[in-house]
Amino acid sequence: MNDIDLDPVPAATGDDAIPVPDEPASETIIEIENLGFSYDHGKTETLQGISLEIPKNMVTAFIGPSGCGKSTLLRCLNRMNDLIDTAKVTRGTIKILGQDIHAPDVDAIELRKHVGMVFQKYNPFPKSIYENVAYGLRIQGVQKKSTLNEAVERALVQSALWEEVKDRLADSALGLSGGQQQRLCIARAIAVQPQIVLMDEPCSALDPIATARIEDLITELCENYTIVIVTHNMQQATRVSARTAFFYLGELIEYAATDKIFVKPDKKQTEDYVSGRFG
Amino acid sequence: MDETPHTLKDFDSGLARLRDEVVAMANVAIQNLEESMSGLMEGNRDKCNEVIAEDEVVDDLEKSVDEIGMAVMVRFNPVATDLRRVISSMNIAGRLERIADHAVNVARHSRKILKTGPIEETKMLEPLFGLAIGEVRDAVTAYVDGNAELAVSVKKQDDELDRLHKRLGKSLIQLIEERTDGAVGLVHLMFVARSLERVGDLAKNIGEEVVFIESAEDIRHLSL
Amino acid sequence: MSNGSKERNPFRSSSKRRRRNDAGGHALFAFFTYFVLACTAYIFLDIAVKGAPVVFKAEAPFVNLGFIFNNPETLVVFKDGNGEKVRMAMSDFSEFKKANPEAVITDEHTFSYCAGGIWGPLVGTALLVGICMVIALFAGVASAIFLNEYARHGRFMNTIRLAIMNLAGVPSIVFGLFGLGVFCLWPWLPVLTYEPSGNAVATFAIPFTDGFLSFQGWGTSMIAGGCTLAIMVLPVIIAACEESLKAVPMGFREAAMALGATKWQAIRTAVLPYAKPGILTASILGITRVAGETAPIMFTAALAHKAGLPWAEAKGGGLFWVSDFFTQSVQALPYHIYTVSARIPRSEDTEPMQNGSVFVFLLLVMAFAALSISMRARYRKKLKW
Repeated sequence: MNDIDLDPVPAATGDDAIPVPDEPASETIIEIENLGFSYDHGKTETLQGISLEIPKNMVTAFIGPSGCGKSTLLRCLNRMNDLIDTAKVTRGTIKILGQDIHAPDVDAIELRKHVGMVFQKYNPFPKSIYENVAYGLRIQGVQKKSTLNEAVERALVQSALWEEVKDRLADSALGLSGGQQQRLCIARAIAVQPQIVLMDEPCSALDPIATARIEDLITELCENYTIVIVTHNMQQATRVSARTAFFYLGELIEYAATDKIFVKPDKKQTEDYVSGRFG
Repeated sequence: MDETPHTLKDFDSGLARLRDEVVAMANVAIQNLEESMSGLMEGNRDKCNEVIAEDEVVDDLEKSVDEIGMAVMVRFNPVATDLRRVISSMNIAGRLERIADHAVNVARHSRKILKTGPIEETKMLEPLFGLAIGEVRDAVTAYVDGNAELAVSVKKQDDELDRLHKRLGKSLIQLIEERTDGAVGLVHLMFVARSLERVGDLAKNIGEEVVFIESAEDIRHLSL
Repeated sequence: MSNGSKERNPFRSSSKRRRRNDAGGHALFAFFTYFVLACTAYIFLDIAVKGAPVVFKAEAPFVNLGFIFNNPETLVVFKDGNGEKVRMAMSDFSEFKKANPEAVITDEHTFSYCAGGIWGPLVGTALLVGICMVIALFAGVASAIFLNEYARHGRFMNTIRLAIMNLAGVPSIVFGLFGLGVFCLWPWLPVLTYEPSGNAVATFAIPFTDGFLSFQGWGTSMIAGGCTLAIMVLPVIIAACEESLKAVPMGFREAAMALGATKWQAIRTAVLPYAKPGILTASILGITRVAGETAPIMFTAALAHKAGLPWAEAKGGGLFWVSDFFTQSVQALPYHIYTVSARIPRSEDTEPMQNGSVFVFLLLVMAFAALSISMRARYRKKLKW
C-alpha cells in the first residue's frame, strides 16, 4: 500500500483535529540514551540500551508485560534504584533538563526534589493530611507557617482534593478513602514543586471511579508538570497519555504517539501486545 | 492475517463469528443481486418476488453483525487491527445491506418492466451487471482473505463501471427520445442501471474498508 | 436419586478407626495443654496465697507499707518470760533489750534479712534495670537501624546477625562471668574518686579539686551490673527492633526519599516514629526479663545487704557524687529472693519474707507485661496502614 499517496489533510477536519506528532511537539525534558541497567552488578542487564526522549508538559506512558523493565526505567529517572545495593547503570546516560543525572556532582537528593514520584500502593504517612503534604517542605527545612500553609493549599487544590479535605486537614490521612489517599500522595509529591512527576502504576490498587478521578487529575497536572506513568492498564495509557513507549524484555520496542501505538503500531510485537495477543 | 491468536480465545471466536456473519450477508446479497438480474433477463417474475422477500434475511444479518460487533467492543476493548476490523466489519455490513436494497430495487423495476413484457434492450445491461457483481465478489474476497491489493483493484474497476454507466445512460436516453411507445420500460431500465452503478460504488467502499483494516490507511476520496 | 434407600447415606462415616484416632489425638494435645496450664496456675496461686497476706492487709491502706518501704533486717526470734514466741527485727530487738534490760530472753535465733521490708532491693533493681535499658535501648536501636537500614545484605552481615541472635541463647551465668571480667575486674575503666585504689593502672589528678580520674575498674557496682544486663538483653532488643523496623512499610521510606529526604531524615521522620511502639513494647518485655535475672548481677552488682539507699551512700559532690553513685554495689530483688530462699533455712519464721518478696516480684513482672500488652493494643489501633 506504499504507493498510495498519504498526504494527510487535517485541515478538513477542523480545529478539533487530534495532533498526532511523531516528533514531540514541545521541548524535550528527559533524554535517555543507550541506557543499560543491571540489578546484579552488571551480570545481567534488565534494561538493554534504551534510548528515548520525553517531551515536557506531556503525559508519557510506559507499557509492557511484567518484568519488561518499565518500572526499572522509571526508577532510574529519579535514581531510586540507588537504594538497591547491587543495582547499577551499566552504560548510557540519562539527561534531565540537559544535565546528566549520573554525573559525579549530582546529588540524588537534589535530583529527587525535581523529580517527584507516586507509588503503586498509596502510602501516606500515618500523620495528619496537612503534615503529609507539608512533609517534603519540612524535610527541606521550611519552617515558616505561612509558606507551608500556602504550599499545602496549592498542592491540595492542584490535586483536586482541597474541597474534600479543607475542613479536616488535621485529621489522619489514613481516614481517607483509597482514591483520596492516592491523590494525597500526588499532592505530597507536587507540594515540593518538582518539574517531573513519575507515577508507578498509580491506579492499580483503586476502583474504577477513583481511577477515573486520578486519570482526570493526571491530564490536568500535565499543564504544569511532565508526567511519566507506568501502567499495566492499556486503556489507561490510551486515556491519559500523549505518547506511549512499549517495552519488552528490557528493550524499547516502539515509542510513538499513543494514538499511533493503539491504532497502527509499526512493530508486530507492539500490535500483538496492545491487542491482547501475547503468548 | 494475524497468526498469533489472542490470549482470550473468546476474543478470537468473537472476531471469527463477526467475519462469518459478514460473509453470510455478502453471500445473500450477491445471490439476491444475481437472482434479480436473472429474473429480469429471463423474464421470471417469481425470481424477482423471491429477491424482495429475501431482503429481510439481509436486514436480520446486518443487525446481528452490529450486535456481535458491539459485544466484541464492549467485552474485549479491541485496539489496532482488531478495532479496525470490528468497525470496518460493521461498516461493510451496512454497505452490504444497501447492496441488497439495490437488488430489491432492481427486482421491483424488473417486475414493472416484465408487466408490459420483456424488452430487447435489457441485454444492454449485461456488461454493467457483470462489472458490478464482479466488484462485489472481489471486495468480499478481499475482505475474507485480507487482500488489500485486490481491494484497491475494486476501486479501479469502479472507475470502469462508472464510465460504462455514463455511456449506457446516454444510449438509453437517446433510445427514449427516439421511441414513442414502450419508453416506460426503458425508464425502468435506467433505474436498474443506476442501481447497478450504486452497487459498484458500495463495492468500492467495501474495498476501501478492507484496505483500512489491513493497512490502517484511509483511501476514501483519494484518486488513484 | 429420589428413591435411593435410607441406608445409602453418602456422607456416613467410612472408618470408625480414623475417627477414634482423631478424637484420641485431640484429647492428648488437650491434656498436655491443660497440664502446663495447671502447673502454671498452681505456682501462681501458691505464691499468691502465701504471699498476699504478707503484702496486703485487711485494714486501710490495705497494703503493708512497712514491707514495701523498709530495708531488710535481721530477724530475731526468741521466747520471752512467758514462753511466748516473739519475732522482732534486730533494730527493734536492741531497743527492746535497752528498754527492758531485765527481760527474760531464751531460745534466741537470728535469721539474716528476714525482717523489715524489701525497699532496698526494689530500688536497686529499678536502678539496675534503668541503667540497663538506657544502654540497651541506645545500642540496640542503633545496631538494629544499622542492620536493617544501612548494612548491605551480604554473607558477612548475615553472619553478624546470626551471631547476635545466638547471643540470646547464651546462659545468663556466662554473661555474669563476662561482666565480672570486663566491667568489674578490668582495670581500664575510669572512675572519679578522691581516693584512688591500689589497683589503679593510671590516675590523673583533676585540677582545682582534691579528686582523681582513676583507671581502676568499676568493681562490683550497679553500672557494671547494668552493663552486663544490657549486653544480655541486647540480642532480644535488636531482634525486636529489627522486626519493628521491618514492619514499617517500605513505601514510607521510598516516599520520604522520593521527596528529597536523606537516608537519615527518612529513617528519623518516616520510619522510627512508626517503629517506636514495637520497640517500646519489646523493651518493656525485655525489662521484665532483665529484672528477673539473678546470675548476671550476682558477681557484678548485687549485694545481700546494704544499710542505706544508694543515694544516701554516695559521697562527694557533683560529678564525683555521680561517679560514686554508679560505682557502688546495690541490693536487687532477684538476688534478695535467692538469698532469703536458698541461703536462709526455711521455717515458719522466714516464710513471710520469702513468700512476700516473690509475690511482689511476680506482681511487678505481671504489671510490666500488662503494660506492654496494653501499649501494643493502643498503638495498633492508632497506627494502621
